[in-house]
Amino acid sequence: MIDIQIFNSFSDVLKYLEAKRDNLLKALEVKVGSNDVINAVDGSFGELSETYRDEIEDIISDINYMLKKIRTNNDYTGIIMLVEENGSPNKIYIIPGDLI
Amino acid sequence: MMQYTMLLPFIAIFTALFMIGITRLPLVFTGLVMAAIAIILGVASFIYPPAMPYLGLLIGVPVGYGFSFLMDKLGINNPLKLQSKQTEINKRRRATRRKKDRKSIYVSEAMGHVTDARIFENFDEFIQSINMAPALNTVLEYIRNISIINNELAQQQVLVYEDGKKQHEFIQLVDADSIDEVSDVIQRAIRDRVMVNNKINSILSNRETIREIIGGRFMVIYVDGAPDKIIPLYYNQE
Repeated sequence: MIDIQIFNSFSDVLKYLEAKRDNLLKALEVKVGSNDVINAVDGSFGELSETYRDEIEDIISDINYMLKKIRTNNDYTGIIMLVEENGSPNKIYIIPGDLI
Repeated sequence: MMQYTMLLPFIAIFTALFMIGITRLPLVFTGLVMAAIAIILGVASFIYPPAMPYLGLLIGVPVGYGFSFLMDKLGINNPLKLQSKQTEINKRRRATRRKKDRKSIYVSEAMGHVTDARIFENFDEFIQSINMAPALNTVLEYIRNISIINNELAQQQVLVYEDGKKQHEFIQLVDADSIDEVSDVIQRAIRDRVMVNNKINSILSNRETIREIIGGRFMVIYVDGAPDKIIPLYYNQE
Protein backbone atom coordinates (compact mmCIF):
# COMPACT_ATOMS: atom_id res chain seq x y z
CA MET A 1 0.00 0.00 0.00
CA ILE A 2 1.50 3.28 -1.11
CA ASP A 3 0.83 6.53 0.64
CA ILE A 4 2.27 9.97 0.08
CA GLN A 5 2.85 12.78 2.52
CA ILE A 6 3.63 16.27 1.29
CA PHE A 7 5.88 18.70 3.17
CA ASN A 8 7.41 22.11 2.60
CA SER A 9 10.67 21.52 4.42
CA PHE A 10 12.86 18.75 5.70
CA SER A 11 12.29 19.86 9.27
CA ASP A 12 8.60 19.08 8.76
CA VAL A 13 9.53 15.65 7.40
CA LEU A 14 11.66 15.04 10.49
CA LYS A 15 8.86 16.19 12.78
CA TYR A 16 6.39 13.90 11.02
CA LEU A 17 8.66 10.86 11.15
CA GLU A 18 9.65 11.46 14.78
CA ALA A 19 6.01 11.85 15.81
CA LYS A 20 5.06 8.70 13.94
CA ARG A 21 7.89 6.78 15.58
CA ASP A 22 6.88 8.01 19.03
CA ASN A 23 3.28 6.95 18.40
CA LEU A 24 4.39 3.51 17.30
CA LEU A 25 6.67 3.11 20.32
CA LYS A 26 3.75 4.04 22.58
CA ALA A 27 1.57 1.53 20.76
CA LEU A 28 4.12 -1.21 21.40
CA GLU A 29 3.81 -0.62 25.14
CA VAL A 30 0.12 -1.50 25.07
CA LYS A 31 -0.70 -5.04 26.08
CA VAL A 32 -3.60 -6.19 23.98
CA GLY A 33 -5.90 -8.73 25.57
CA SER A 34 -7.80 -11.18 23.41
CA ASN A 35 -11.21 -9.79 24.35
CA ASP A 36 -10.76 -6.15 23.63
CA VAL A 37 -10.21 -5.85 19.91
CA ILE A 38 -12.96 -4.06 18.02
CA ASN A 39 -13.29 -3.83 14.25
CA ALA A 40 -13.10 -0.17 13.33
CA VAL A 41 -15.48 -0.45 10.40
CA ASP A 42 -18.63 -1.60 12.21
CA GLY A 43 -17.82 -1.83 15.92
CA SER A 44 -18.08 -5.61 16.05
CA PHE A 45 -15.59 -7.70 18.01
CA GLY A 46 -12.53 -8.68 16.07
CA GLU A 47 -9.17 -10.38 16.20
CA LEU A 48 -5.72 -8.92 15.91
CA SER A 49 -3.01 -10.76 14.02
CA GLU A 50 -0.13 -11.68 16.31
CA THR A 51 2.40 -10.33 13.86
CA TYR A 52 1.24 -6.75 14.33
CA ARG A 53 4.04 -6.04 16.82
CA ASP A 54 6.66 -7.31 14.37
CA GLU A 55 5.24 -5.16 11.63
CA ILE A 56 5.26 -2.11 13.91
CA GLU A 57 8.87 -2.81 14.89
CA ASP A 58 9.80 -3.07 11.22
CA ILE A 59 8.25 0.33 10.53
CA ILE A 60 10.10 1.84 13.52
CA SER A 61 13.43 0.53 12.26
CA ASP A 62 12.71 1.84 8.76
CA ILE A 63 11.83 5.25 10.22
CA ASN A 64 15.05 5.29 12.25
CA TYR A 65 17.04 4.44 9.15
CA MET A 66 15.41 7.24 7.18
CA LEU A 67 15.88 9.73 10.02
CA LYS A 68 19.58 8.95 10.13
CA LYS A 69 19.93 9.62 6.41
CA ILE A 70 17.85 12.79 6.30
CA ARG A 71 19.93 14.82 8.71
CA THR A 72 22.67 15.34 6.15
CA ASN A 73 20.23 16.32 3.42
CA ASN A 74 18.04 18.84 5.11
CA ASP A 75 18.95 21.85 3.00
CA TYR A 76 16.94 21.19 -0.14
CA THR A 77 13.84 23.24 -0.71
CA GLY A 78 10.80 22.55 -2.80
CA ILE A 79 7.82 20.29 -2.48
CA ILE A 80 9.01 17.35 -0.48
CA MET A 81 7.12 14.18 -1.19
CA LEU A 82 7.59 11.34 1.24
CA VAL A 83 6.52 8.00 -0.18
CA GLU A 84 5.48 5.39 2.35
CA GLU A 85 5.18 1.78 1.34
CA ASN A 86 3.21 -0.36 3.78
CA GLY A 87 3.68 2.35 6.39
CA SER A 88 7.46 2.53 6.09
CA PRO A 89 9.17 5.60 4.65
CA ASN A 90 10.61 4.44 1.36
CA LYS A 91 11.67 7.34 -0.77
CA ILE A 92 11.67 11.11 -0.81
CA TYR A 93 11.16 13.12 -3.96
CA ILE A 94 12.04 16.77 -3.99
CA ILE A 95 10.03 18.58 -6.60
CA PRO A 96 11.53 22.01 -7.23
CA GLY A 97 9.12 24.90 -6.97
CA ASP A 98 6.23 25.89 -4.81
CA LEU A 99 2.62 24.78 -4.80
CA ILE A 100 1.32 27.97 -3.22
CA MET B 1 59.05 -33.17 18.05
CA MET B 2 57.11 -36.41 18.29
CA GLN B 3 55.34 -35.61 21.54
CA TYR B 4 54.06 -32.33 20.13
CA THR B 5 52.58 -34.12 17.15
CA MET B 6 50.79 -36.44 19.58
CA LEU B 7 49.23 -33.42 21.23
CA LEU B 8 47.70 -32.28 17.99
CA PRO B 9 44.51 -34.39 18.00
CA PHE B 10 43.79 -33.41 21.62
CA ILE B 11 44.19 -29.78 20.78
CA ALA B 12 41.90 -30.28 17.82
CA ILE B 13 39.24 -31.87 20.05
CA PHE B 14 39.45 -29.06 22.59
CA THR B 15 39.21 -26.53 19.84
CA ALA B 16 36.16 -28.31 18.48
CA LEU B 17 34.51 -27.97 21.88
CA PHE B 18 35.62 -24.37 22.07
CA MET B 19 34.04 -23.75 18.70
CA ILE B 20 30.73 -25.29 19.77
CA GLY B 21 30.69 -22.80 22.60
CA ILE B 22 31.72 -19.89 20.49
CA THR B 23 28.94 -20.39 17.93
CA ARG B 24 26.69 -18.54 20.35
CA LEU B 25 28.79 -15.45 19.74
CA PRO B 26 28.49 -13.29 16.63
CA LEU B 27 30.41 -14.63 13.63
CA VAL B 28 32.53 -11.50 13.36
CA PHE B 29 33.75 -11.93 16.91
CA THR B 30 34.57 -15.59 16.25
CA GLY B 31 36.49 -14.61 13.14
CA LEU B 32 38.47 -12.00 15.04
CA VAL B 33 39.38 -14.44 17.82
CA MET B 34 40.49 -17.08 15.31
CA ALA B 35 42.52 -14.56 13.34
CA ALA B 36 44.21 -13.42 16.56
CA ILE B 37 45.03 -17.02 17.53
CA ALA B 38 46.43 -17.71 14.07
CA ILE B 39 48.66 -14.65 14.16
CA ILE B 40 49.92 -15.31 17.68
CA LEU B 41 50.67 -18.95 16.88
CA GLY B 42 52.28 -18.07 13.57
CA VAL B 43 54.60 -15.58 15.25
CA ALA B 44 55.22 -17.89 18.24
CA SER B 45 56.23 -20.82 16.04
CA PHE B 46 59.01 -18.69 14.56
CA ILE B 47 60.31 -17.52 17.91
CA TYR B 48 59.79 -20.82 19.68
CA PRO B 49 59.60 -23.77 17.24
CA PRO B 50 58.04 -26.25 19.74
CA ALA B 51 54.91 -24.08 19.67
CA MET B 52 54.31 -25.05 16.06
CA PRO B 53 52.01 -28.03 16.77
CA TYR B 54 49.58 -25.67 18.44
CA LEU B 55 48.78 -24.58 14.94
CA GLY B 56 46.60 -27.66 15.25
CA LEU B 57 44.11 -25.24 16.79
CA LEU B 58 43.44 -24.10 13.27
CA ILE B 59 42.52 -27.64 12.27
CA GLY B 60 40.05 -27.62 15.12
CA VAL B 61 38.15 -24.72 13.64
CA PRO B 62 36.55 -26.52 10.67
CA VAL B 63 36.11 -29.64 12.80
CA GLY B 64 34.23 -27.64 15.43
CA TYR B 65 32.02 -25.99 12.87
CA GLY B 66 31.35 -29.33 11.22
CA PHE B 67 30.46 -30.93 14.53
CA SER B 68 28.11 -28.11 15.49
CA PHE B 69 26.52 -28.23 12.03
CA LEU B 70 25.98 -31.99 12.29
CA MET B 71 24.36 -31.58 15.71
CA ASP B 72 21.97 -29.03 14.26
CA LYS B 73 21.18 -31.33 11.32
CA LEU B 74 20.50 -34.27 13.66
CA GLY B 75 18.19 -32.09 15.69
CA ILE B 76 20.36 -32.26 18.83
CA ASN B 77 20.27 -29.01 20.72
CA ASN B 78 23.72 -27.61 21.22
CA PRO B 79 23.83 -27.15 24.99
CA LEU B 80 26.30 -24.30 24.70
CA LYS B 81 24.46 -22.42 22.01
CA LEU B 82 21.71 -20.23 23.37
CA GLN B 83 18.84 -20.36 20.90
CA SER B 84 17.06 -17.40 22.37
CA LYS B 85 13.68 -16.30 21.14
CA GLN B 86 15.18 -12.97 20.15
CA THR B 87 17.63 -14.68 17.78
CA GLU B 88 14.73 -16.44 16.12
CA ILE B 89 12.77 -13.21 15.81
CA ASN B 90 15.80 -11.43 14.34
CA LYS B 91 16.32 -14.23 11.87
CA ARG B 92 12.70 -14.04 10.80
CA ARG B 93 12.89 -10.29 10.53
CA ARG B 94 16.03 -10.45 8.41
CA ALA B 95 14.23 -12.88 6.13
CA THR B 96 11.26 -10.55 5.69
CA ARG B 97 13.63 -7.65 5.18
CA ARG B 98 15.38 -9.54 2.40
CA LYS B 99 12.03 -10.33 0.86
CA LYS B 100 11.15 -6.67 1.07
CA ASP B 101 14.45 -5.67 -0.56
CA ARG B 102 13.93 -7.96 -3.50
CA LYS B 103 10.55 -6.48 -4.22
CA SER B 104 10.66 -3.64 -6.72
CA ILE B 105 9.49 -0.45 -5.16
CA TYR B 106 5.97 0.88 -5.48
CA VAL B 107 4.46 -2.34 -6.68
CA SER B 108 1.06 -2.72 -5.11
CA GLU B 109 0.84 -6.16 -3.57
CA ALA B 110 -1.49 -8.31 -1.55
CA MET B 111 -3.18 -6.21 1.12
CA GLY B 112 -3.06 -6.67 4.85
CA HIS B 113 -0.06 -4.88 6.35
CA VAL B 114 -0.11 -2.95 9.58
CA THR B 115 0.93 0.54 8.48
CA ASP B 116 0.47 2.61 11.62
CA ALA B 117 -0.77 2.61 15.20
CA ARG B 118 -1.89 5.59 17.24
CA ILE B 119 -3.37 6.28 20.62
CA PHE B 120 -6.27 8.71 20.82
CA GLU B 121 -7.53 10.45 23.93
CA ASN B 122 -11.09 10.70 22.67
CA PHE B 123 -13.29 9.72 19.77
CA ASP B 124 -13.61 13.20 18.25
CA GLU B 125 -9.84 13.44 17.91
CA PHE B 126 -9.91 10.19 15.95
CA ILE B 127 -12.75 11.27 13.65
CA GLN B 128 -10.93 14.54 13.01
CA SER B 129 -7.74 12.67 12.08
CA ILE B 130 -9.43 10.48 9.48
CA ASN B 131 -11.10 13.44 7.88
CA MET B 132 -7.81 15.13 7.08
CA ALA B 133 -6.19 13.72 3.97
CA PRO B 134 -3.60 15.61 1.96
CA ALA B 135 -4.80 16.69 -1.47
CA LEU B 136 -2.77 14.46 -3.73
CA ASN B 137 -4.70 15.51 -6.80
CA THR B 138 -3.29 19.01 -6.44
CA VAL B 139 0.24 17.65 -6.46
CA LEU B 140 -0.48 15.44 -9.45
CA GLU B 141 -1.89 18.42 -11.29
CA TYR B 142 1.23 20.37 -10.41
CA ILE B 143 3.51 17.63 -11.67
CA ARG B 144 1.62 17.49 -14.94
CA ASN B 145 2.14 21.18 -15.46
CA ILE B 146 5.73 21.08 -14.37
CA SER B 147 7.18 20.67 -17.85
CA ILE B 148 6.60 24.39 -18.27
CA ILE B 149 9.25 25.07 -15.68
CA ASN B 150 11.83 22.66 -17.03
CA ASN B 151 14.38 25.44 -17.09
CA GLU B 152 14.05 25.90 -13.39
CA LEU B 153 14.54 22.17 -12.91
CA ALA B 154 17.74 22.25 -14.88
CA GLN B 155 19.01 25.13 -12.77
CA GLN B 156 18.23 23.30 -9.57
CA GLN B 157 20.16 20.30 -10.78
CA VAL B 158 23.20 22.40 -11.54
CA LEU B 159 23.01 23.90 -8.07
CA VAL B 160 22.92 20.50 -6.46
CA TYR B 161 25.79 19.33 -8.57
CA GLU B 162 27.86 22.42 -7.72
CA ASP B 163 27.31 21.88 -4.04
CA GLY B 164 29.10 18.61 -4.56
CA LYS B 165 26.61 16.87 -2.32
CA LYS B 166 25.82 13.33 -3.18
CA GLN B 167 22.13 12.52 -3.02
CA HIS B 168 21.07 9.42 -1.26
CA GLU B 169 19.36 6.96 -3.52
CA PHE B 170 16.07 7.41 -1.75
CA ILE B 171 16.22 11.19 -1.73
CA GLN B 172 15.80 12.20 -5.30
CA LEU B 173 15.57 15.61 -6.83
CA VAL B 174 12.93 15.34 -9.48
CA ASP B 175 14.17 16.32 -12.92
CA ALA B 176 12.44 16.34 -16.28
CA ASP B 177 13.23 12.65 -16.79
CA SER B 178 11.74 11.45 -13.54
CA ILE B 179 8.49 13.42 -13.71
CA ASP B 180 6.74 10.40 -15.22
CA GLU B 181 8.00 8.20 -12.39
CA VAL B 182 6.73 10.62 -9.77
CA SER B 183 3.32 11.08 -11.33
CA ASP B 184 3.05 7.30 -11.60
CA VAL B 185 3.76 6.96 -7.86
CA ILE B 186 1.16 9.62 -7.06
CA GLN B 187 -1.42 7.87 -9.21
CA ARG B 188 -0.78 4.58 -7.41
CA ALA B 189 -1.15 6.34 -4.06
CA ILE B 190 -4.42 7.91 -5.19
CA ARG B 191 -5.65 4.48 -6.29
CA ASP B 192 -4.69 2.91 -2.96
CA ARG B 193 -6.37 5.72 -1.14
CA VAL B 194 -9.72 4.94 -2.76
CA MET B 195 -9.86 1.77 -0.65
CA VAL B 196 -8.82 3.68 2.44
CA ASN B 197 -11.58 6.20 1.80
CA ASN B 198 -14.20 3.47 1.39
CA LYS B 199 -13.26 2.10 4.78
CA ILE B 200 -13.22 5.55 6.36
CA ASN B 201 -16.69 6.23 4.96
CA SER B 202 -18.12 3.14 6.59
CA ILE B 203 -16.44 4.12 9.87
CA LEU B 204 -18.02 7.55 9.59
CA SER B 205 -21.45 6.08 8.91
CA ASN B 206 -21.14 3.80 11.96
CA ARG B 207 -19.50 6.37 14.15
CA GLU B 208 -22.19 6.60 16.83
CA THR B 209 -22.23 2.81 17.33
CA ILE B 210 -18.44 2.71 17.59
CA ARG B 211 -18.33 5.71 19.91
CA GLU B 212 -20.64 3.95 22.37
CA ILE B 213 -18.59 0.77 22.38
CA ILE B 214 -15.11 2.16 22.83
CA GLY B 215 -15.68 4.88 25.41
CA GLY B 216 -12.65 7.04 26.30
CA ARG B 217 -9.04 6.38 25.49
CA PHE B 218 -8.16 3.87 22.77
CA MET B 219 -5.52 2.66 20.35
CA VAL B 220 -6.13 2.37 16.63
CA ILE B 221 -4.23 -0.10 14.46
CA TYR B 222 -4.11 0.90 10.80
CA VAL B 223 -4.00 -1.78 8.15
CA ASP B 224 -3.14 -0.68 4.62
CA GLY B 225 -3.53 2.94 5.60
CA ALA B 226 -7.04 2.68 7.01
CA PRO B 227 -8.12 2.32 10.65
CA ASP B 228 -8.77 -1.39 11.09
CA LYS B 229 -8.80 -2.37 14.76
CA ILE B 230 -9.66 -0.36 17.84
CA ILE B 231 -8.39 -1.38 21.25
CA PRO B 232 -9.99 0.45 24.19
CA LEU B 233 -7.36 1.32 26.80
CA TYR B 234 -7.92 0.94 30.50
CA TYR B 235 -5.80 2.49 33.23
CA ASN B 236 -3.57 -0.57 33.71
CA GLN B 237 -2.87 -1.40 30.12
CA GLU B 238 0.28 0.56 29.47
